Order: sequence, then structure tokens, then C-alpha cells
Amino acid sequence: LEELEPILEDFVKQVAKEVNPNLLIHGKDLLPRYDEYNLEKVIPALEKVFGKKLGIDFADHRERVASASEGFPPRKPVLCPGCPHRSTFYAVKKVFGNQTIYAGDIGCYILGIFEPINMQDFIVSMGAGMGVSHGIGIVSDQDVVAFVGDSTFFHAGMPPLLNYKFNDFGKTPLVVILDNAVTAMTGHQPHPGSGFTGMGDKVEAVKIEEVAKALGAEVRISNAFNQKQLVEALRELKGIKGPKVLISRGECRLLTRRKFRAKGLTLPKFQIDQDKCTKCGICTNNFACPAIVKTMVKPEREPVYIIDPETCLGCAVCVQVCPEGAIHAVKREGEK
Amino acid sequence: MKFNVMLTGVGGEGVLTTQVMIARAANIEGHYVRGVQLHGLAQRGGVIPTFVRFGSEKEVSSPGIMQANANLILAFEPLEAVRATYYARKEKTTFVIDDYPLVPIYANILNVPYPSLNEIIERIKPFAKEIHVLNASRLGIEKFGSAIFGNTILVGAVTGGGLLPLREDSLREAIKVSAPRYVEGNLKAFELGLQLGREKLSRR
Repeated sequence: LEELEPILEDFVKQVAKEVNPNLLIHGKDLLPRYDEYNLEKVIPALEKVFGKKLGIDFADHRERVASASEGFPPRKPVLCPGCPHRSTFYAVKKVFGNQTIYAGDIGCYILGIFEPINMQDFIVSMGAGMGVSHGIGIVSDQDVVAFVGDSTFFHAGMPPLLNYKFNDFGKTPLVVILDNAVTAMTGHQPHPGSGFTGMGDKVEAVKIEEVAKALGAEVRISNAFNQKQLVEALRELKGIKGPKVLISRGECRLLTRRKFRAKGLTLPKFQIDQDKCTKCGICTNNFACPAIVKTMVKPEREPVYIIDPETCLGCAVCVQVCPEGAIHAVKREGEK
Repeated sequence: MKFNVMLTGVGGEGVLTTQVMIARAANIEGHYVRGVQLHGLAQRGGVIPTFVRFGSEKEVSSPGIMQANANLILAFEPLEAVRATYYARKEKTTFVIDDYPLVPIYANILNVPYPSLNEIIERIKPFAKEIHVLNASRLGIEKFGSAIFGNTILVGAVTGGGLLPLREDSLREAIKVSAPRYVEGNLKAFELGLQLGREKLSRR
């Protein structure tokens, strides 16, 4: 039972058939090249091998389960509440719109593939977003923006950026480096820019801006949680020809929360002023932070927008996104 | 005896920590334990199904629970209880559901409203021997200042109510190891859960 590609299977077949060409060896003829080999996959395969039926109807149960949750909202993976990437995506879309080609790469920001963000038009392998979009920029009239994370940039983003400079055909993509200080997706491992090693030893952090400048790019840096700063930097970079990089810098919010907790501090919480809220839905449908919830209040079935204090990580970007200025910090005990 | 527990919820709710807690308790009692956590893209906000199986070494040979074969499903979020029906069947499965909803952003974006608790229970009924709904997260917020304590309250409840065949002391030991920084709060939450379980889940 070898999941995915038949590497062992092919070698075993090769060796075994030299000894006994008539030996029956089953593998990918009965099992798929994708998915986990759970009992639902393995039992039907064994039934075929032994010509016996165990009488478990997997498909029927699967259908009943599917109809049980029919009409209920799906729960696809989302960027965390307070994620700096959500803020960056929001500002980039504001400046570059829906007609730009957005290159994706490997990291948490891969979740930008889902609605309402929809800003990962292709994802190939680490560093490929920058390299492939270089080529797209040459042949396409559309703007091209390549997103790359800080650790992915160190891992595989430096050669394509250098190539932008070396083979500059006058239309290089804008590179947005999402710098959240760590390798967030896999569990906060350090990278050369983090300032500490995998063993926890302190080291000098390599500055992304210095690397990018050395590789020939025009660089702007913005606070990832500041919409105004992001939009200004992006507008400026949009007018620049040649290699250009925006470093959108904002620590992974889960890491911030951990640091706060270790010091016995709590993150700020935000709430929506119901008198100012016009129920436009920008915070839930466009910005779509999972901490902001639209609920129906009975008996009128009037929608009410609230921020779940258990989920909010206090990044304050929704405050900047709300056109009515209806979102503000919850006053802490003792605060005026 | 072989026992299959499935825990499901949303990333960030503490599903993974709770799964380890139950696995450790079973191990303390000398059971042969296997389990697996199906997480990946969900730091927070995605679905996290996890499994604990315990019994003798002969009985428990793989970490995953087969379709329709869970004895107990602990759902930390009501909507995810519906999707956990894959592992449930009428003759075998007891559901214990925390009533604190976490509305997925897609309810708003796709304009598919979050269902009521009654709708959820109706959909689960064909797959369940028993369904119990508890307000563990709300109690966690009320008594301990955070919904995260709802997990330990829920574990206490199924232990106190006799739905999880493990001893109270093994779980207390497991809590000390699994949540080293919040032992006191979690032990209190566990006691509250035990009481809740004895009152609301015990078979008459």
C-alpha cells in the first residue's frame, strides 16, 4: 500500500518479475494515485483481490452524509483573524483591482486563493511565482503582482529578483514581500531574517530590504496593518518601471498573541458601534475577517454585525476598512 | 474493549490539545492508544477532525476511525458536528455538542445563513444514538474568562456522565501534562464539567 506515485511498486515489480514473471502484483491498478489510503480505499481494493464482498456500502453512507450538511455554509480554510496578509491583500486589490495578474506562492498567503480575496491566480512551487510572472509581464498587457512570503523569498525568491534586473524587458512585475517575521504556515520556524536560529540562538537578522536593494530593486517598506501607508507605497511603486519591491511588514498575529500572553498582557479588542453601522457588509464580505460576524436577530430577522471578542486579535485593520468609522476599541477596565 | 472518540471543531478552539489530553489519559490507564490529527491549512478558522482510539493492542491497529464507527463524537462547534456524521451511525454513536457557534466567513460571502441549533440536531438525528448539547464554551467565558476552557468542561462532562470510559483521576493527570501553564484553571474547569455531566448526561 504505497500512497501517491508508484516508486517502490515499480522497483519491486522489476526485481520480482525477473525471478517469477507470473507473479501477480497489485498496486495502482486497484488504488488511486491521490488521496490518503484509508479503509474506504483499502477495503474495496482487497475485495477485488480476494473476490469477496464485506458488504460495507461506503458510497451510500457518503451520500447520506453529504445530504446532511446540504444547504449549510462551507468552512474553507481562512487566514487567521488579525492576519497581516489579509490587510496587505486588501490594499493591493484597492490599488491594482481585479484585472491584474496575481502570482501566488507557498505559504499562509496561499489562502488568498479563496473568495473574497481571489488573488492567487497561479501557484506552482516555491519561488516560481516571481519567476513565472517575470515572463507573463513580458507578454501580457495586464499589470502583474507577485506575492511572496519572507521565508520563501529567502529560500527561492532571490534568484528571480536578480533576474528581473539582469533581464529587464521594461515591464517587471511588482513583488510584494509579505514579511511576518517567521515561517508562519509550518509553525513559526525561524528564517535568516528572524534574528534567531532553529536552535533558538540569537543571530544577526538579515534585512530583506538590503538584500532586495543589492539585487537591483527599488524598495518601499510599509506597516502591514496600516492601510493608508500600504496604499501610498503601492501607488508610488505602480509608477516605477524596473524591478520594484514592497515589503509589507507585520508580525504574524499568533506570534504577537503568544508574546503578549507570555508577558501577561492581553491584545486590544474591537467592537462595532450599532448606531453608526449602516450594515453595508464591507467588513464581512470584502474584508472578511473571521472575527466579524453577521447574525440575524429575531423576530425581525434584522442583520446585526458584531465582532466576536473570543476570536478578535486586535489588529485594528477593520477600523480602517469601515467606511462609516463605526468600529472602535473596547475600553478596558479602568480606561476612560 | 475498544473505544473510538472523534473530536471536531475549528482551528484555534483547542481541539488538538484536548485530543492529546484524552489520548494521554487513556495511556495512563494502560490502554493501547492510537490517534491522528487532520490539520494542515487551518491555524485558525478551518475544520480540524481528530481521532483517539484506545483498547488492547490487538483491537487498535490504525490511528484513523473508519466511516460510521465512532463511539463518541465531541463537537466543539455545532455546524462541524453535522460534517462529523461521516464517522457516525445510529446504532453506535453518541454526540456531545458545544452550542457556541463560530460562523464561517462563507455564510456571509455566499449568503448561506448559519443554521439554527434545531436544524443542526435534526440533520444529525439519523446518525446518532444520543445527542447532547451543552453550553461549555459559554460556561468557560462566564466562569474562567475564556471559551477555551469550554474544552476541558466538555471533557469533564463526558467523563462525569459516563460517556467516555476513562477514570476521572487519569484525566486530571493528563490535564497536568497537557496544559502545564494553565493547570489550575483547567482542573477547575474539569471539576465543573464533571458536575455538569453528572447532572445532564448521566443515564437515569
